[in-house]
Amino acid sequence: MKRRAFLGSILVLGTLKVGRPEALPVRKAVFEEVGNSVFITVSLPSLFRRSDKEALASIDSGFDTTLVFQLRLWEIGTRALVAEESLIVKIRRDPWKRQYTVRTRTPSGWAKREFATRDQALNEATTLVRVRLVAADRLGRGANGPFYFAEVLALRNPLVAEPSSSGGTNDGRAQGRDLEWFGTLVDVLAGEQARAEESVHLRTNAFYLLPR
Amino acid sequence: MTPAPSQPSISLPWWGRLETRVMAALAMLGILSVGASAYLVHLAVAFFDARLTGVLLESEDVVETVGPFHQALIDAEIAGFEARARALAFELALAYAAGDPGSSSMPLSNILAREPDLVAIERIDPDIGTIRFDREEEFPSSSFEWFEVTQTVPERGRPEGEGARLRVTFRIDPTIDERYQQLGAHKQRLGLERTMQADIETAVRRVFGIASGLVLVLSVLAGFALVRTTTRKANVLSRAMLRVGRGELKIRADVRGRDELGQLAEAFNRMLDELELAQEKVAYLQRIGAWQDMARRIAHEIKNPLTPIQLAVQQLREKDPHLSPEFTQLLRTSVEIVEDEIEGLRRMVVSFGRFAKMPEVRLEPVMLNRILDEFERAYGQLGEPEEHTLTIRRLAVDVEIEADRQLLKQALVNLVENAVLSAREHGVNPIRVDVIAAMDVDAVDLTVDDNGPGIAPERLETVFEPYETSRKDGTGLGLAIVKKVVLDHRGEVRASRGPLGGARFRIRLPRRVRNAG
Repeated sequence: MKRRAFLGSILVLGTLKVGRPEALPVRKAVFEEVGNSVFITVSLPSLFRRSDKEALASIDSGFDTTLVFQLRLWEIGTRALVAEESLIVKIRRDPWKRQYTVRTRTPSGWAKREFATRDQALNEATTLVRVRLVAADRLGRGANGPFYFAEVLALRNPLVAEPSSSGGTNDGRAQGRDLEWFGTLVDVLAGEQARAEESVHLRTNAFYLLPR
Repeated sequence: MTPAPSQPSISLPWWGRLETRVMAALAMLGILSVGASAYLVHLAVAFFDARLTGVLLESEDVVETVGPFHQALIDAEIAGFEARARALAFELALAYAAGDPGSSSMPLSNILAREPDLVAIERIDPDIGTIRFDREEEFPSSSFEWFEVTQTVPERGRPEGEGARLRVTFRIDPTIDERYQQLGAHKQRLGLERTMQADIETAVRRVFGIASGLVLVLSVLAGFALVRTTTRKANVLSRAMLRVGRGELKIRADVRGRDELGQLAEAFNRMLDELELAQEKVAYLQRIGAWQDMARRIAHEIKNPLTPIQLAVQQLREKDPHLSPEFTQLLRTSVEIVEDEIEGLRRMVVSFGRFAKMPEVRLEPVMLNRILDEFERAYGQLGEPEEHTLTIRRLAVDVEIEADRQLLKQALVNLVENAVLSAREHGVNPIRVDVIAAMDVDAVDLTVDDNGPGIAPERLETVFEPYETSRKDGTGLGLAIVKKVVLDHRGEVRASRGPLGGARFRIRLPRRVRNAG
């Protein structure tokens, strides 16, 4: 395994609390099977606390606040990653129309919804409503298992690492490499809290698909 | 070399040992160094943290300052759109006042064509319906933000609120939002950097702590290995010294290496070698002294009755009455036997006396080749037949030693005679004896080789002991005298197997050291 891949793995493991999604706090979610798709509905209100004045002010000032949701579907007992989805939502106050907009990225572009109040917009932005998680035919069926659960990692305004911030320099390659190592270690130890304004990392209740 | 025992014989508590103390000192130094480094890192982190926080706060202030301007810009844009819509409504009213308002839509299409940022223009008239022109395909809502303004078209004769209305949809300049969002991204990044600072500081300290801990552990382990090696040598030396102090001179310190401790152990072992040799010399000389004392007494006790016995025997022979030839023959034979034995005893007494009365060695500076010359003159040749050869090889460059010439010559004579007698007793013919002188930096060697029967390996150590002889008529004193003479010269003599097939005796004498000046 190359060093970069190894460090990347460490970073991911650090982000996922040393790779044990079962150990995450549990949040109630609703899973629905519609056609050949399994949808999830889960609310993450702690991603945007109403007491966070700075974050609310940022929305009111017209700046986009980006929410990134990473969804992973695991099969209980096997540690097998079944599916992975991601979702990006942006929320802001529209200074032209003086109302709040929530935009969700879809394969065909951005879907926009407008709200008169900030609370409505925040509720909309922090709730994943019927988000497609996986194709149903990829899952087993039956009340006796297999059972599945979803791991949800939600980041508010995540920090996007810039290529030049890794510390590599042309005039001191050895020192650059050391600095890169150091930076990676610091990133790992600083954890996900340091990579986003706010983060929520949890798992859902388990579910199974009814037999047909 | 006998290795030092593994059991520690030094009764020191663990905290009093050199190893423990040096280890404790190393650990303390390591902890102090790491502690000092940690404090410096803490100061450095705090310093840069303060600087960075200041910069971040100032940057955030700058961004915050821009925010109201953005809203003011948008308000101005909105006001502009409203003013333009109002102007367009008047323009439309004038156009329709001049012609038939219901029959022509030319003014609307002209306006749309004239205004590049118009997405749509629409006249809503309660009497004649809605007329709309747009270019939504050019500015789709999925890519552009629109702003819509509705104005009443002033018309003479119609009460306020019942006339036609003009709805104008403007395309919002996307660069306004793009630039503002870029600013927002910078602001978020600045804020995130500021909120990350505490976590990053903690992480930096943890990384430093882990790295320092590793370095400290490695340093302590390396120090422990080094100290262990060094103190183990010191312990081995110390134990060896303790055992030597108890009189075990055979003990040697098993310390290797070229460091000071290795050199010390080497010197210590060399000193023990010399001490052991000196002790052996002293013991030998004491034994010789005892033997000399005994030889003197024996010689004295035997010598005194010999003369009366001999006189008595002579009288017996002279007073033979010759009564019977058989008796006369018996008496003569008996007297001869007794006289032979008396002669043997007399020779023994002479040997004992000579051994007992060995003179004290008087050392004086003398050239080695001179001793060899005098020895050659005195000894000459080995005797008949002439095939017997005595070869004397001198030094090419003569060297001065401190010696008693007479005694050293006597020692050489004893060695050569011992060689000749042994060879002769074993029927060696011709006999060959080589006396070879050699020298090195601090000693000279006199080697006597012969082609006689040699010395059995088990006798090599005891051959110099008094009265130890393998010859039938030997007294066992010749080689003892040689060793005593050599020891009195502060030298040493060793026996071994020689290159001529017989024995080799090597006398090693120290060279004379001239005092400076």
